[in-house]
Amino acid sequence: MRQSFNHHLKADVLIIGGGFSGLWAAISARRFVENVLIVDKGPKDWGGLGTSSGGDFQCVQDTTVDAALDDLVYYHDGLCDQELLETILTQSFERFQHYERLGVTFSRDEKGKLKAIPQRNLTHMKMLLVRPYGTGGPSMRDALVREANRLGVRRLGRMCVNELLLDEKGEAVGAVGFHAQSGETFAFSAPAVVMATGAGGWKPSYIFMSNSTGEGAYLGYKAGAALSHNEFMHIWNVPVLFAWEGQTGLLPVGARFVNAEGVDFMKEYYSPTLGANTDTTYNCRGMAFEARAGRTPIYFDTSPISAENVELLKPVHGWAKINYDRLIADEGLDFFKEKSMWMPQIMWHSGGLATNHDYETAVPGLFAACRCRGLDPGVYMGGWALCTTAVTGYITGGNAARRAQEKGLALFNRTRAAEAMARALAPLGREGLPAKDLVRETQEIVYPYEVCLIKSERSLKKALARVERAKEAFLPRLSAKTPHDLAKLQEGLSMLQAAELFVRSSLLRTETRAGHHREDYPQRDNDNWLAWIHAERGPDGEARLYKVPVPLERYRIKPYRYYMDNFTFPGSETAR
Amino acid sequence: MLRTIDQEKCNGCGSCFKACGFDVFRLATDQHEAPPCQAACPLGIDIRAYSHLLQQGRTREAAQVLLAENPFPALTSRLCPGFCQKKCARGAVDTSVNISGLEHYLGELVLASDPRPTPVTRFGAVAVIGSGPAALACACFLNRKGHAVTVFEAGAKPGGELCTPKLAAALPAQIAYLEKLGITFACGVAVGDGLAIGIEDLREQHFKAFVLATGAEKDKTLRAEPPFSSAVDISDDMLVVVNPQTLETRTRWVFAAGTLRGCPASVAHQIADGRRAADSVARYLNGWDMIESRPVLGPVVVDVPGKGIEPAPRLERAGEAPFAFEDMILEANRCLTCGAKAYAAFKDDCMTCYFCEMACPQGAIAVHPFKENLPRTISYAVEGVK
Repeated sequence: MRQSFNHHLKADVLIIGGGFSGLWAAISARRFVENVLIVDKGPKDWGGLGTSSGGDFQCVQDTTVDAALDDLVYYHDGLCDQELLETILTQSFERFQHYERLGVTFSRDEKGKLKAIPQRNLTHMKMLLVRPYGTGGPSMRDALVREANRLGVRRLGRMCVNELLLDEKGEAVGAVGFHAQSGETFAFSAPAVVMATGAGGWKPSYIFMSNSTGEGAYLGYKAGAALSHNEFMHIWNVPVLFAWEGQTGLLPVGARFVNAEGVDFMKEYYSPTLGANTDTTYNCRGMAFEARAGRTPIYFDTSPISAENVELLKPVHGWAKINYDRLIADEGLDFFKEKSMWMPQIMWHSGGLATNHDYETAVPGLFAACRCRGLDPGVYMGGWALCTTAVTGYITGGNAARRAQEKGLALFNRTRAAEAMARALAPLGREGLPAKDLVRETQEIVYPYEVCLIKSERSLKKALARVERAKEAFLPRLSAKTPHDLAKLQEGLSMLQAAELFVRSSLLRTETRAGHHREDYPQRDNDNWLAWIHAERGPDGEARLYKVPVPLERYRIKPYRYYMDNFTFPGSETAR
Repeated sequence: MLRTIDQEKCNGCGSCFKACGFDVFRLATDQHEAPPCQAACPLGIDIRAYSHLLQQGRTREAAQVLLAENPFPALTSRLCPGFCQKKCARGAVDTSVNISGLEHYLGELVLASDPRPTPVTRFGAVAVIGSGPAALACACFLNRKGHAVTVFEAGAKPGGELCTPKLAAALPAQIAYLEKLGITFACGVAVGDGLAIGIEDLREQHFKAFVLATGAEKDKTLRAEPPFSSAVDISDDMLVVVNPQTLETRTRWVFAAGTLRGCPASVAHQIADGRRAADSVARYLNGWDMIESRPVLGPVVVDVPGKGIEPAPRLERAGEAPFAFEDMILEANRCLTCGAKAYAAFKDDCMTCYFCEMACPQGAIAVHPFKENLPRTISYAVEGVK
C-alpha cells in the first residue's frame, strides 16, 4: 500500500458526503459500530447544501401518514415508490423530535402548537420552520456536527473520491481518492459504504447548490449500480442577474410573475386553479412556453406587496441580507420596488442511485441516502430535503452499520486499487482541455429550455449528438494543472454522464408526467409509463436503459388524481 | 461574484480559505512582517508558511519549508520547549496552535522518506568535532552546500547530549537519515590536543575547516578545559572564545558552536548555532565577507488575528504517536497565519455564496451580488431590471 497510496484509512462504515444526510447516517451508524468515517469534497463540517437552507422541515405531525402519502401519490402523478415514501413519512416525526433533542428550535404559536405551512397546495404536506427564521441551516448543521463530535465520528474534508473498490465477490469495500488541495492519495477500506453526496446538477449559480454535481451517483454507476429518475430535474425560477431565496413566500402577499405584456401567465394561460402558487417546475414550464410565444422577458413584480409586508419579508439574516442590501447600495436595485427579470434555472437533477427498501444498491455493501438516491419525478415541496436527509440518512447509516458488522473484513485487490488511482490522476499535468470547458459544455447541452423544459425528440436528439461530441472531444484530452482542478474535472465528468442519462431517459419516456414534459407526447400514458427507467452501465461502457414497472398491485393507493391535471400547456388540451 | 479582498484590512486569519465551499482562496504567506511564532523561534522557522501548506495537506512542501531552517524536526518536536507556542496569537482566542504536534508530523514524514545522498560538489572536507545538536546541524547544513563532512565523536555512538530516553527511537533514525545524506560519522575518535588525533593532523589529511561542538557542562564547576587551546582561546568559564556573530575563533579555519562556546542550552538555540557556524565555514572556504547579508528577520506582525475567531479545541497527540492526517489538517487549520494575505487563487470557481464575506472577521471581503454569466435556459438579449 505504501508505494501506491500516501494514506490508507480503515473504517467500519465509510460515508461519502458530509452534508446533513451523511451526518445523520454517521450518527445512526455509531449505534452499532465504532469507526465511522465521513469524507467530503468541501471544507470539513461545512454541512453541504443543508447549511444554506432556511431550515424548513416537512413532518407528519398533525395529520396521518395515509393522508400525506395520498397527497404524494397525487403530487408525483402516480410515479412514486409508496413503500419507501411511507417509511419516510412515518419516521419524519421521530427525526423532528431528534432535532429538538439536539437543540434545534422550531416555531410554535402561543399555545405551543407547531407552526406548519402547507406546501404547493397540498393539504397534508406541511413544513415546520426553524426559529428564528433564516437561521435554520447553520443551526441544524451545528447541532449535527456537535453530535458527530460527541460520538467520535471521524471527518475528512477536501477529499475527492474517484472510484469505489469492490472485493472478489463484487461487494463494495472502500474507495480511492485524493485530497483536493494537496493531491495526497488515499485508499479507504470499509465493509459498508454510504453515498450521501446529494443530487446531481450542472452548477447553477445558486449559493452552495453549485457544489452538488452528482459524483455519488456517478461513482455508483461506474461500480455497477443502476440509476433511476434520470429524465427528471428540478427547475426553479430565479432572477437572471442575482440570487433570491423565498419567492414562494412572496406570492401569497401579492407578488406576481408576469410576461412581457404584464400578464400573470400562469393564472391566465396555464393553471387558472393554482396560478403561480405551485411547484417551480410548472412555473418554469410556463415561462418556457411564454418564450416560445415571444412574450418574454418574464418579470417578478413585487410592487403589489404592501409596505407593511415588505418590512416583514425583508431578509434580515446571513447571505440573503448582504445580498439584498448590496443590490441597493451597489446597483441601486431595491428588490421590493422593481420588476426584476427572472428565468428558469436547473437546480438539481433527480437522477440518482436505485436501491431496495434498505437503501442498498445492486452492489452489495453500497448504500445511498437522500438525494443521491433517485426518488422523485422532478417536483419538490419546501422542507422535503431536510426531512429526507434526516430520515433516509438515519435509516441508511443504521443499515450500513449492521451490514458492516455482518461482513466484518473489507479486502480489496491492491493492484486494481492502484490502477484506479492512476486512472484518476492521469490528467494531472497533462496538456489538454480544462475542467472549466467541460463544465460549460455540459451546461450548454442541458440548459436550453427546449432540452430541459419543453422536450421533443428533435431537441433531445440534438442534445444527444452534442453529448456524443463532448465525449469524443473531452474524454481523451482531459487535463488538470493542480489537484484542485482535478477535483473540478471529476465534477465535470459526473455532469457529462448525468447529461447523457438525462437526455437518453427523456427520449425513452414517450409521455408527459410530473417534471417531464414531452411536446411530442403531451399526454400521460399510464398503460406504458407507470414505470421507472433504470440505467446501467453495459459491458461496452455504454448506458443500458430499461423499464421497471411501478408495482401498483402491492400498493395501497391506486393513483386516482394527478397534480399535472391542474395545468394545461399547449398540446395537452385534448386529453383533459 | 467575489469582487474585492481589501489587502489593508486582511490580517491573514484564513477564515475565507477555511469557509469556501468551492476552494477559491489561498493565502500569500511570504510577507515582510514575520508572525509572532517565527519571531520567537530561535531558528526563525517560517511556521506561517508551512502551516498554510499543512492546512492544504501539502505535507511534502511543508516539510521542505521546515527543513530549510530546522533539519531535525523529529528531534526538536520532542525536545523544544516551544518558544513559538508561547507567542502564538491563537492563545488569545482559546489555546495556542499545537505547533510541536505539526512539527512532529513533519518530522516523522521526513524520517520515513528515503533521501538520496547529497552530491559532493566542493573539494576538501570539513570536520565537525562532537555530535550533539549544534554539531549535527552544522554537519547537515554543510552537507547541503556540497561539502564532504565528517563528524568525529569520542563516544561509541553519535548524538552527544541527544542520547536521552525521549529520543530512544528517533535519534538512531535521524542519524541513519544523515548517513544516507552522505555525512560520515567517525565514532570512538577523540579529536583534540593530546588526544587520538589533533586538528593539525586532520588538516594534513585535507580537512579545510573545523567546527568545535563538543558541548559544555551546564554547571561551570564541573567543566574541564576543552582540549583545543593550541588553536583557540579558552575563557575563565572553560568555554571557547568566539566572535558571537560569526563564531570564528582565534584560528581562521576553526569555528565553535553550541554550549561549548556559551550558546543557550535549548536544542533550538544549539541547532541555530550550528547553522550559523556552517554559514561561516562556507564564507571562510569561499573567501567571502564574514558579515555581509546574514539573514535578518523583518518586523513582527502587530495586528494579529483573533477578533471574531470561533474557539476550536486544541488537538493533542496521543502519547508518542504523531497526528493522523485528518487531525494534522484540523490542527493546522487552527493556525491564524498572522499577517498573511488572502487572494483568490481559483476565482473562476466562485459561485456568489457570500460565505467568505460572512466568515471574514475583518470585513475585508466584498462579494458582488451579480452572478456568473452562465448559459441561460431562456436567452434575453438585454438582462436587467425594469
